Amino acid sequence: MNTILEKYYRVLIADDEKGIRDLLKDLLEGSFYVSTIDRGDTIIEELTKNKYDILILDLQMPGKNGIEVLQTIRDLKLDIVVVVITASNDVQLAITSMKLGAYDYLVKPFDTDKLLVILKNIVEKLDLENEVNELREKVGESFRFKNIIGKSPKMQRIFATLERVIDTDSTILIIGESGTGKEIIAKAIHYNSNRKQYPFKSIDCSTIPQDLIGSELFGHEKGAFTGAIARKIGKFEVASKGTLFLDEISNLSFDMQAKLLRVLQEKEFERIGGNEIIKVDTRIVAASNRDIREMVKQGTFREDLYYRLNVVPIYLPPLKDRKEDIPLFIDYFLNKFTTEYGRNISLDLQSRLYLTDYHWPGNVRQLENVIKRLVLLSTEPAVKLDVVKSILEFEEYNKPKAKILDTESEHINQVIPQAVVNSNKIQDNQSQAHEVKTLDEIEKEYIEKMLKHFDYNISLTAKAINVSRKTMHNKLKKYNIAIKKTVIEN
Amino acid sequence: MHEVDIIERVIRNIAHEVRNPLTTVKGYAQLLSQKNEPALIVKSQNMIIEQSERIDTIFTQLYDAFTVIEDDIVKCVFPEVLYTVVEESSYREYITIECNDQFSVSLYINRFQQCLSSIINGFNWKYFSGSSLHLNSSKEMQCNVRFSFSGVVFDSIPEDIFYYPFQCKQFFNKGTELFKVYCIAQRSGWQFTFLKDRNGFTLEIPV
Repeated sequence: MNTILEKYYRVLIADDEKGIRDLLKDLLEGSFYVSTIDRGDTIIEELTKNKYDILILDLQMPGKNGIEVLQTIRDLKLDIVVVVITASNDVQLAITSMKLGAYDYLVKPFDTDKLLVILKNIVEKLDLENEVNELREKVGESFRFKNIIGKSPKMQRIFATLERVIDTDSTILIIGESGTGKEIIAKAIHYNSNRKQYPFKSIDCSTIPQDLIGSELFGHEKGAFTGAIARKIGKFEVASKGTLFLDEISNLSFDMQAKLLRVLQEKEFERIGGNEIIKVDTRIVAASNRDIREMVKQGTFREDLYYRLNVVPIYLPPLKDRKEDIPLFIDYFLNKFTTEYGRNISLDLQSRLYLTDYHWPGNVRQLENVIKRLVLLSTEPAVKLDVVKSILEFEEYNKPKAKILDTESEHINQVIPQAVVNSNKIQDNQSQAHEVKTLDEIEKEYIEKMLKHFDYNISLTAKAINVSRKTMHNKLKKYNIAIKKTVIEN
Repeated sequence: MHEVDIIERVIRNIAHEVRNPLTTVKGYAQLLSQKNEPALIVKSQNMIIEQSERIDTIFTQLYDAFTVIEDDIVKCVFPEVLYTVVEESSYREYITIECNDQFSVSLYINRFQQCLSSIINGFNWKYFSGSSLHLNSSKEMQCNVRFSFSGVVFDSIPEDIFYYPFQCKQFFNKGTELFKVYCIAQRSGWQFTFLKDRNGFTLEIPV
């Protein structure tokens, strides 16, 4: 037993039989903190006075019988796992006990091994619950309003508004440019609300094809359509009692908007291909980077749905409109990435001022990426202004191209400035590329420079430009890049 | 109630009672094979012996309750019989007696004394300290004795307690005390029931 149970939980043994109290104490004392009690009418008092995790409860006790004790535990919502032990083999008693929330039921004279197996299962259950609670607490803590960066008056006003509506079931609509942290605010709403112990689920309406979004939101029954090989539970159902974050809601088709409206109004829906009406209590937080009012005017978004969603509107300001927060973000991301990559990098004052003054079209997400790149690729411990400038200039230059690149190329473009750190040649190269070079040419050139920078170490280069070694080899082959002998040895 | 039902209830209650010490015996026997600690071995052996003796006691008590007391019907002054039993008990200071008059009855005197003694001496005076017993006897068409306790209500004992030998152990030192009173009453043709407010019992003896 000692080897199985490493953690110590508190067990209360309630039995009027001294022999059984002694036996269970001797059996469990090595693995649990054990206390005993011999009367039924003092159990509840003991449970409320001291914290116990498990109650081993005899049903026949003086003062108050076990069934009454179970009822009181249920009524008072005491957080304890109860194992019932009884000398009666009345099946009805067992059923009643289990209905009242008992975890298991043992008839005397039971095998001690059987009891140990039950307790082992309970410990596993409690361990898991504790782990989930710890994780939930940890996640929740990072989304507390006080831990979200936003000292600017605009953000403080948003937090104050949210504090007022946080525990209501009001639908919240977050409007803000891309990268302003809409999902973080949605999570903060969830983890600060009384729904925090239930799931938070999110769905990006812009990335899921409209044909599939219904299935994602409402689920489907087996055979509902070709490919529906099993029943699927939708996000609405999974997030029941919790929060569902509908990102980029402006991308929902008109048809889907109607279905969503019905759920918001009726709080019920049917899975695709199903007849069963499923009732849910899911809070909706929606977000969009587009002005939905304008879409309503244009007739591309349902007005009734807009008003349903827009109960509490939150307008997240772009980063350039809350410059007070930029130094805080810089420090936060700098600390995050230096820790993550084990690098000791700092920014000089001029760089900080420059970054603070920058207009950040990509908002917080862009700032995060820039700091990440600085930390990852800087060759000097203190990043200087010219390096910062070159990265931001490159960002500006690449902005329109980024949209037509595939994911892999995007990664590559994100780190291009490193190739020219400590060199002014970058600007020449960029202007040349801007004028005549194809994407493939830029990529080839970039890979060659990165290889050179990392002394032809393929692993390091691949890591730096965020591609796998296999992709790296494919690129080398594709562009017919000459590899030095040191590369092969590597 | 059908006799078979009564037997079923009695056996179920006995089984219930025996399973407790059996659990301890079985548990310590299993513990012996799991833990090789000298102190625990000694304790386990002691517990096994103690609980085996307890099982024996349970059956002795039951046998005692069922055993017919040899007795003859004797004519006696009923209040005097009451006083004698009370005076002989260790708890006379907690007991008051109220009789309408000195009346004579013919009854199984030994059996009656046994019933009275079981209720007085079997009651858990130590646990219910501060309680007292009031005995009220009267004679009409029959001889009535009311055993009313103050400070105790037998509300956690089920109505059909008399088919469950060990159910009243919360109130009596031995669970079989009331069962024994009931068995004697049944054999003697007396009526033994709860008082209406459940703070005692009534024994009705036809005369």
